[in-house]
Amino acid sequence: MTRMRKIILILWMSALLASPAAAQVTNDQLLRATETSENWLSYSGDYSSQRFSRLTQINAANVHQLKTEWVFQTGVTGPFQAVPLVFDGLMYLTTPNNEAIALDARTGRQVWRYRHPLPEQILGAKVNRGLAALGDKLFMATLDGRVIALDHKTGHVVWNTKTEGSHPAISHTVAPLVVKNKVIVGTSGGEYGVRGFIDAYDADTGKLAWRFYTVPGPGEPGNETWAGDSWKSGGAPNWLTGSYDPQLNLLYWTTGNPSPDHDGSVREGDNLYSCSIVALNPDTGKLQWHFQFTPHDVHDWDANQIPILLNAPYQGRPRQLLALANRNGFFYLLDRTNGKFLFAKPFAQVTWASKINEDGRPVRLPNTLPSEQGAYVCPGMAGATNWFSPSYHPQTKLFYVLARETCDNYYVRPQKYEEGKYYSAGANVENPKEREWGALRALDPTTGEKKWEYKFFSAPWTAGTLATAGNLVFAGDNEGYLMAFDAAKGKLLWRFQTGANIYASPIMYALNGKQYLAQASGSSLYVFALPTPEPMKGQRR
Amino acid sequence: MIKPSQKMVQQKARLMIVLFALFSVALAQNHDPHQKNPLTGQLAALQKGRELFAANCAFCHGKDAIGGTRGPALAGGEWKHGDSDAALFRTISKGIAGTAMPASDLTETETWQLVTYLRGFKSVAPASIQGDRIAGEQVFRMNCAQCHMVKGRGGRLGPDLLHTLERRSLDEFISAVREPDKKIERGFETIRVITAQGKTLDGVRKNEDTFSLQMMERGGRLRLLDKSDVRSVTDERRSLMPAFNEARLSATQLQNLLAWLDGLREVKAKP
Repeated sequence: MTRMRKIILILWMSALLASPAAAQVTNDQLLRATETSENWLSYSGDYSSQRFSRLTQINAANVHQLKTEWVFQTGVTGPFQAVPLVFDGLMYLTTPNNEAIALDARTGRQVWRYRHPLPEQILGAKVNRGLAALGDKLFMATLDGRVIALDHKTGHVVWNTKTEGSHPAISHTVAPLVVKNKVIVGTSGGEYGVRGFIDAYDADTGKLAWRFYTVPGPGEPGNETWAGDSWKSGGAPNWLTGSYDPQLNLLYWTTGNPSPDHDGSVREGDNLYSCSIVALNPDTGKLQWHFQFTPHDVHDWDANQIPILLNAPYQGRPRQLLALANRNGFFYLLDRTNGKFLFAKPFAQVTWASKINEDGRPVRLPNTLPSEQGAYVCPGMAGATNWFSPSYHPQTKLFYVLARETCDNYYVRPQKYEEGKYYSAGANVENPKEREWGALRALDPTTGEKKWEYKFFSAPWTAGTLATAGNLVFAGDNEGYLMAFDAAKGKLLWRFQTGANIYASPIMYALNGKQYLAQASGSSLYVFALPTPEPMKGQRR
Repeated sequence: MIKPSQKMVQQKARLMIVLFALFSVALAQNHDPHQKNPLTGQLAALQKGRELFAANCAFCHGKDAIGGTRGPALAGGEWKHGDSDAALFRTISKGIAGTAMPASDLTETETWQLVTYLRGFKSVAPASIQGDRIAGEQVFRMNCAQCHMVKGRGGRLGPDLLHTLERRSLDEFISAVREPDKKIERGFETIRVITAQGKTLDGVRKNEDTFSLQMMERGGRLRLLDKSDVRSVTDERRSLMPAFNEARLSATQLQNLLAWLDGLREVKAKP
C-alpha cells in the first residue's frame, strides 16, 4: 500500500468514526419512538403498535388542503404492502419481490436499490411488508426463507442467513421487529402445511438466537391438542409483525390458521397455538402465556392481526391491556401482563358463535362448519377484518378498525397432505346474493361499543389506518381512496383517489419543519403535505 | 318432425365432431403430450372442471369466474399469462410468481378438466355455425339492435354481441339469451337510482365506489353522479334484458342470429 493510499484510508476511517450517532437507529430511539414522531422506525410506528403520530402540523382544521408532494413509482407489480421506514432524511421501502429501496424523503429521489435474487418458484403469497432498522443496518425477511441485513447508506449486504428448516414453503413476508439486539421474524406458509415458528437473529451477526415453534412438538405442552401426527403439518404461521412491552419485557406475536384450513377431522383438538397470541420472553423465546381466539379453527380465521398495547382504566382500575379485532368477527380485550381474557364483543356480523364465554372460548352455533354441501357463515373467509392495521388514539381513546361485512359458503374437500402442495382441504364461495360492504369503525376498547362508523361501498380488503394527534384518523379503501376523518366524530375531511388498490397502511413523518403523509398504492408511493405549512411546535428532537 | 330444440342439439353435436377433428389434427402434429388438452370439448370434463373451479378457484376469481376482489375475471377476461393449453396448464399447476396466484395441488387430469372448463368461456372456432345469415341479420335488427351493438350498429346499453360471441362459449351465449337474469356481467348490473331531488334513474352500473357512481340509463345516456346527489342505489338483481324464450325467439331464429354473427368474425389464419 502506498503512503498516499494509507493516508486516504486513515482519513476515510476517521470520517466513519466521526459520523454522528444520530444517523443510526438506536435501541433508545426504538423505545421512545412515540415521542420522536418525526421518524417512522418500525412497521407499526412503535412497540405498542398503536400507529399513532404525535405530529399536529396536519390537523382536522387544515387537512382538506393536503396536496401530493411527490410520487415514487417502484416499477414492480404485485401487491405493494410495504410500510416505509423514515429516519434521518431517508425513506426505506420494499417491493413485493424483495427489492429494498432508499429514497430522499423530501423529494422521492432514489439513493440506492438492492435487488434480492429469488428462485423462480416461490410457494405462497409474493409480498413483503417492509424493513426493520437498528444501528447502521436494515433488516429484510425474504420470500426464499432468508433474513438479510443491509447497510443503511448503500444497501450492501452485511449478512445473509438462511432460515433453518427444509420445508419448501418456508417463506417470509413479514416486516421484522427489532427488540434489544435481536431481529424477530415469523414464517409464512399456512396454506402449505408448514410448522409455524418465530425466530430471533442476532442483529450484529445474523446468528439464530432462539426459535419458538407455534405448533408444539412431542413432549411439549400443547402437543396433545393435535391428533396423531397432525402437528407436523399444523401451520400456525406468524407473518405479521408483533408488539413489545419493554417494562414487562414481553414480546406479543399472533399466529395463523391450522393446516389444513377447512378439514378439522384430520387434526382433532384445539390445535395450539394456532389462531392465538403468544407472549414470549424476547431474550430466550420462552413462552410466558398464550390466548387462543379460535380453538380448532376450520374457517381460515387466522389471528394474524395487529395486537395493540394500551393502558386504560377497566372496571374501575388502571390496567395494562392488549386489544385485538379478530378475523373471526369479535373484538377482544386481554390483560397483557398475564393473558387473562377480559371480554369479547362482535364488531361485525357474526353467525358462527352466540358469544365468547367467560373463559374466552366461543359458544359455537350449529351448522356452521364447512360441509360437502356448503355452510353459509358470516364472516366470510377473508374475515371481519384481516392483517391490515388498526390504530389507537390515546386522546380520543378510540380503537379504529376497518371492518368487513361479508359471508361465504364454506365447503370441505378431504385432501392428503403432500409437502410443497397447497393444503386447504376445502374452499369458500362468495355469496352472490348479498353485496359485500364495509366500514371504518371507532370502538371504545374497554367496552367494544361502536362510537361511530363511516360506511364504504365495498369491504375493505388490504388498506390500514393511522391515528394522529391532529385529531385525525386516516384509512384507505378497495377502490383506491385515501381518506382522512375527524378522529372524535368520524366526519370525512379529505380524500384522494390514488388510482389503484391500497394494500398497505399510511405513515406520518416530518423533515425540516414539514409534516408528510405517505401511502403505498398500486406500485407507487404517494407522499402528501400542506402547501403552506405552519411552523411545527415543540416536536424537534 | 324434428323440434327446433332437437335440431339445435344435432347441430351442436356436429359442431363438436368438427372441433374434435380439428384438435385431433393439432394433437397429431404435436409430439409433447402436455402441450394440448386431451379433454378438449368433452362435456363431462367441462362439468367436472366447473365443480373443481367452485372448490378451488372461486374464492379469488369469483363465482362462475366472473372475477372477485382478490382475482381477475377468467370468464370473458384477458388471460394475461398466456391462453394456450400449455400456458393455462402451467398457470394452474405452478401458479404465477409475483401475484397471489398459488400453485395448485390438482392432478394432471383435474388440471386438464379445469382447462376444459375455462376454454368453455372462449368462443368456438370461427365460421363454423350453420344457419341463414341474412335471416340472422334481420333477427338482430328486430330484437337486439335497440340495446346491443355489432360492428358499430345498434345500441349501447348491453354488451357488444360480436365481442360477446368471441369471449363466450356457445352454451353461455344461448343461456344469456334465454335466461339473461341468471348471470349478469360486471358493468351491466341493473340498478335503480333515486337522486337527491327524488328523480328515478334506471340503468346499468358501469362502476361505483363510496363517493361516486357511473351508470348508463336505459336510453343510453351516461350519468356520472356524486353520491352526495344520490338518495339511494338499489341492485335490481335482474337483467334489463327481457328473457328471449322460444315463444319470443325460435331456435331457428337464434341459430340464424348466431350464424350471422359468426360470419362477421375475422377468420384467423391457421399455421
